[in-house]
Amino acid sequence: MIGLAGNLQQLADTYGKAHRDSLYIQNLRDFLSYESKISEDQSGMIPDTFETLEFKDVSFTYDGAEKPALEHLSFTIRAGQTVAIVGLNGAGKTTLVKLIMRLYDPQQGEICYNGKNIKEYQVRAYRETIGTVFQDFRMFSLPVADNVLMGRADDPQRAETALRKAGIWEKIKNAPHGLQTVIGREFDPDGLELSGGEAQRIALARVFAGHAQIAILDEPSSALDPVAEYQMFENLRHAAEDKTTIFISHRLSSTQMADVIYLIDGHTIKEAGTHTELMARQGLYWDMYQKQASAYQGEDR
Amino acid sequence: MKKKIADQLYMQKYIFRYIPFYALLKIILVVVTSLLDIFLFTYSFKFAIDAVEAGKGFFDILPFFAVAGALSIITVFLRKWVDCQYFPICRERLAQKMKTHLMEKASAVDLACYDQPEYYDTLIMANQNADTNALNIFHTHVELLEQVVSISGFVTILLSLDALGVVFAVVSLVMGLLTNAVFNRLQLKCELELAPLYRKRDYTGRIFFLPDYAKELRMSRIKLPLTAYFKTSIREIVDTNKKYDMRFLVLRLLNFFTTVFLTDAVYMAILVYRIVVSKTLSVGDFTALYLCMDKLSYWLPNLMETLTNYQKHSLHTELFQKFENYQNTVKDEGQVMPGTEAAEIEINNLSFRYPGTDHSVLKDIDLHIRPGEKIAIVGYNGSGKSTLVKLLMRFYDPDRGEIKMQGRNIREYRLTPYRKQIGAVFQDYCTYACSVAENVSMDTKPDEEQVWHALKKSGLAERIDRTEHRTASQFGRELYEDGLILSGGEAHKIALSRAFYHDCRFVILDEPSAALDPISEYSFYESVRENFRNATVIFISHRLSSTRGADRIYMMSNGEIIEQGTHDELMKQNGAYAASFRLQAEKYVTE
Repeated sequence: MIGLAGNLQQLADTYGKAHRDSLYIQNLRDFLSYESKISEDQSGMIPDTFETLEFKDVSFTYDGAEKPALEHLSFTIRAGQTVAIVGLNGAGKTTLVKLIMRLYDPQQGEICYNGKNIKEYQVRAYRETIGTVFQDFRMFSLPVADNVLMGRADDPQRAETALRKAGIWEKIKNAPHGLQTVIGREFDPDGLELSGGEAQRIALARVFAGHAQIAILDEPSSALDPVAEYQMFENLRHAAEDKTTIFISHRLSSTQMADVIYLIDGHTIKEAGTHTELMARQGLYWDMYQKQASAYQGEDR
Repeated sequence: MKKKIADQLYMQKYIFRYIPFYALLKIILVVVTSLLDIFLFTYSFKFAIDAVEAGKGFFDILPFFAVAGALSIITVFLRKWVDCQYFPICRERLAQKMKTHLMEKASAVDLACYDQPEYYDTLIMANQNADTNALNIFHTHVELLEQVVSISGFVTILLSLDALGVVFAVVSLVMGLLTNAVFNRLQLKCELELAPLYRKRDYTGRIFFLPDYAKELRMSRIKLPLTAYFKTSIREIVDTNKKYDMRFLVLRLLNFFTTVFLTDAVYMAILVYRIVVSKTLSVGDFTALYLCMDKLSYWLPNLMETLTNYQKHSLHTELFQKFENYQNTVKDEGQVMPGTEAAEIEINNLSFRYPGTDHSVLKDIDLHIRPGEKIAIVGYNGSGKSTLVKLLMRFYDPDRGEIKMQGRNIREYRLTPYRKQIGAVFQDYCTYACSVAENVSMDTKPDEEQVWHALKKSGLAERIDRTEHRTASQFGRELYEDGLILSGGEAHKIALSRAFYHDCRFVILDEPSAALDPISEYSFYESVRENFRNATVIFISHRLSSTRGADRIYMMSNGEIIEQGTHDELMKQNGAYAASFRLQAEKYVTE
């Protein structure tokens, strides 16, 4: 193109492009100006040493869902307790855990940490009191040390101790670069490929490495073989001595070590108590336990 | 170079096969417009000026311009129509046809291709957009054609008016190609250095936008190391760029002085001297030459750019050909159709290691499963259970030994029917963004009644019945705003329903009950016993309670079968199985 005509054509093109870009810009502005309902930087109190966590008539409905996922939940967890949450698939166990972590806020009722609504605490500081292994935990393509310490100050000793407790230290020690071995082969041919059970142990080590006062474990043993499962619960018992532990499990053998068991059914807590108490009630817990135990009992014992 | 051209023409055939009319139209239009352009932009000006100088009137030159104008309007109109209206339709048509072809191919390559990153990257990921690549290559060819036609046209005019101009054009072209070649080689080197850095940068950046990682990001400070890695990779990218930028600048300047400066400044100065001082050039000729050179200084760099792209495309075509010609190592050479009777499986002396590793995952496995038996495979994490099951499904073929079904090596069966007769539920099952019925049947025309039967058997019927659209409910929120969201255990039951949907004679279940609550687990095994009475069932389980009802249990460790027998026999043997069982059972001992 030559001269003025060419320039004009270019101007028209540029205008068209600018118009298209403005659509993206609007999206970006919406995203950047999105006000988190639960903002990490929100100011608030710094939590003291954990004493109690109390649910007061809490109800929660997911956005767009017709029915509440949880209704009228009331209970108290005290420091040092080991709490088991059990229930059928889809009962709302994982949702309950998400509420404790303040990944969602309930529409009704309040959750109190040491007697004060958890909304009054600084979100980040509050979340740091909790260490979690999710059912769908993820590994990051970073060195093992980062996957365990998860952003806390670099402290190889601490990472090693946590991995030891989670029962995976031998494997890491023998990896090409030890703690600095990257997980996955995406970026590093020397990367470490982990099986499902091994990855779960790394996720567990995260909890051991943290300063968390409350440990939450969602189905911690689902991918483990019997020996590994046994060891893990043993480790947990030791590690949890000074920690409050909340775990979700379908393995009712593991719930026996709990100080209190909450059974969720029909979106609320139906049964609560120790293993012995719940067995005596002969309700759903008893039924579940009987079903699971029956297969283990028999002539050979 | 010869091979590169052949590769690109190979890719081209898809364009001519799937959208031939578009291809032809595009080529014809490009040639016609280029010729018209040459004529209008140089000769017509000379014609007008010469006519005016010769004292001709307006009406003498009007017909010439009317015809030329009309022609150019028609071609412009056609070109715009092809680009705006016809092209988008053809693009989708090509995408549909070529993508289906690629999807077919991707779903058929060896599973092993997905295990090794180097294979996965170059073979599978690189080819998912092969349709766009083919189109780009076609357009590059069209551009090349346009450039060659235009350049030869303008050079012809130059030759007829002033041969010296051709010298300038040729020098400029040669110098341009030379400097560009050096530049490109340097750039390729720089890009290769940058590629892994970009991957690192993109990985750390991407994590923040993925739902899978959202919880972990909020509950920990993992974003600190992620951000740190992000920053480091950017710093490395900047450093790498800095290392090269001086050389890039010098090459660019050299390119400018040997091309554009030569034609636009030096040659023009000569022309101006000839018209003003030596008066050896007419105004009409000058105008034509000026416009000609102006056009050439547009087309020559253009041609160089296209040739550069040509090099880049050849990488895509090479990978595409590799993909097209990939020969599966698991060969589909059998002729026999599997029967409908319960499977009888015999494994003799089987050993296996994953391609590219030197560690045997399975060693000397021998086993015999009679029709209708319920077999449990148990063992520690990483003992080779899932691998054994993968070999049974012929995702891999064993290195040594053989697997027989009904007395025949499984390689003798036709591959697809062989795999289809197996009802399999994987540990890492997936649910798809389709309806519940499609997720259960894994087919386009689900049998509604069968779907409900299957859901009932897996214990999910009630849950689905309560939803608004029942089996037509769409899965997940990725495509549908009111899509169905199931909990981990419920989703697993969908996967289990798949095994019940087809009346299979051979069922393989990998950790079928890990995510199920005790009641569901109990009824699931009841359901398996009841519904697969006539089928051979192999299941892998860590829940040793479920293995008690099995006809035989194989205990695996380090790729070997270390114990086998019924529950009672193994308990009596008092080996590894008994130890594992007691560990799990001790908590259940009631008073």
